[in-house]
Amino acid sequence: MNEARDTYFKLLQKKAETDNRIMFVLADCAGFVFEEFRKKYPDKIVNVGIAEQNAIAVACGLSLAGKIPIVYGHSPFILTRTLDQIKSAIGIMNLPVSIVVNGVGFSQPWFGPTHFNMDDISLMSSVANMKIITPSDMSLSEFAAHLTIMAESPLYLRFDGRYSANILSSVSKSDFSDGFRIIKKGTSAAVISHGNCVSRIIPLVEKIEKEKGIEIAVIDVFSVPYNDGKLYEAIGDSPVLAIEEHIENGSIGQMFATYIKVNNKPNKVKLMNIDYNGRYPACVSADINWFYKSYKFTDNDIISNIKQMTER
Amino acid sequence: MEEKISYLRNKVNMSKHKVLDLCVKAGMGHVSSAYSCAEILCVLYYSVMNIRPDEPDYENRDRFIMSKNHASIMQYPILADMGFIKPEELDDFLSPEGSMFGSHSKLAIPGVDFAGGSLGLGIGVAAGIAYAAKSDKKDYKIYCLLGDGELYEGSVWESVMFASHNNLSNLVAIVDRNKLAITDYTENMLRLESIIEKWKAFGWEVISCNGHDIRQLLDVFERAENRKSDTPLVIIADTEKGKGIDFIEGKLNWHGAAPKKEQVESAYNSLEKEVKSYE
Repeated sequence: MNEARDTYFKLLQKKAETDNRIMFVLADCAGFVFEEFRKKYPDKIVNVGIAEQNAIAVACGLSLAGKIPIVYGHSPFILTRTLDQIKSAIGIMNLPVSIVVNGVGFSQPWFGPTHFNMDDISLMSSVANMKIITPSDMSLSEFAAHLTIMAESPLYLRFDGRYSANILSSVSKSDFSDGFRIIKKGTSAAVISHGNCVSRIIPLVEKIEKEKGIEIAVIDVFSVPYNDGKLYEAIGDSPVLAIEEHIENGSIGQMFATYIKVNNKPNKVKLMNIDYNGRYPACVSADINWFYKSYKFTDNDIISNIKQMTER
Repeated sequence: MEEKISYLRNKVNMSKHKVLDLCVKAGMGHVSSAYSCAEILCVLYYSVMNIRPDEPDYENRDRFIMSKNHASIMQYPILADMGFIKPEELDDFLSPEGSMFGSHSKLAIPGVDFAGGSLGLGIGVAAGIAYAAKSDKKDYKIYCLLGDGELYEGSVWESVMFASHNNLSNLVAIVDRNKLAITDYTENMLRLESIIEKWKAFGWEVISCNGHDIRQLLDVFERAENRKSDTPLVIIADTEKGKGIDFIEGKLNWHGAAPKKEQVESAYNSLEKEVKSYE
């Protein structure tokens, strides 16, 4: 069970009971979360089969006819097979279609390299009018469901599958308006991240803080675009480490590094991404630690990088 | 009937002249692709579709999805003539000042339901609209014009399969079968025939006609309107790319091109000949 994804879908299914505009377009992809709903409301589900291009085109048509289509397809195919459809039919026409994937980063290691989704932020951020939400916990899943109902533009929602509890116990919707949230404050360095990495980083940061007697900020940049000016204000001149299960090109960290450079800010910025470096993960393994080790993304690698940033 | 045909023929002549005017002025434009579907568009807009120029977004209007959107220039004179847009706005076509027109329709143009440009996409979008209409128990129809060249796109067949499986009988596809793509004749490049059998195999009802014969087009669209069927319908319209300009008609190397300066007079003369041939 993927609690973050399921929270999102269950909220929308509840809404769909009384809102006939909501329709789910599935490309032979559903999961247990649709079992009950499918029995009760088969007409609100359009399953197009393993035909991702048609899924996007049909969703575009549903949207033009006044529906709120939510496309759910296998990651990454619903993005990469259909990039032209997304760009042409959804981005250029600025249609409020939500595209949902599960299994970003290394969250489905057993499927092998064809199923890894490590470049999706890069791809989707290049689509006109597209807003990306990369939830790190269930409060952001709820926010994503709210956005889907209210959307006037395209949305891309990337679920992971390795997290559950809320990172912050009390957050209001207004906390989400700038596209990032401060998980904890600190002046020695700032770590920015999103998705599953956020909850993974927090205890590692706390360990370093205890060891070195310093305070490190952790910021969850869960949206693209985000308010980069306000993010800079929150960070100040601290060194910044961006940690993401995503390639460097088009990553959120790279976007922020560009902001720092273009605006002549003094911050030292380091990016910690998945670097294929010509070695596309060729091993099909259920052991995520194998991937972490192979791509220098272990807890020790993260600790080492954070420590380097705190040494001014 | 004769009066109606004559009325529509005049609209075709007007639209084709205006398209030539616009493309000659701009020095570019898909004249040949537009001319192969001139009669189809005029019959749809002036005689078949339930649309309201004074209320372009009327909820129960019939929808038109121009999937072979490189020919969208043929829509503009019609939309201007019907009052969706102001005739003077056509002068902006392909000019940097143009507020509405790029090389393709945008949703900013009243009366345009879909901004195409990428081939193989429109039929899936039309199927999505048709699905929503059925779901909402609306009785409007969705017309989608495809070029034959875009039938090479695999996505077309995903959507064709989807439409028949879901009994989208409110969907009418029209294939502009002009037999020419950009670089070659379709049957030389990669055989498309038998198109009729392909659509039938995917569960569609198929009607074929001469896409330049207004009488035949009126007849097939009337049959489309009155038929009682659970399946979507496709009309395979046999056409000629560049129909009406003798040095372009059915010729290679005219895709996306406008007549050059020294060819303009000859193009207009050719169009006049065509007009007279119908008198």
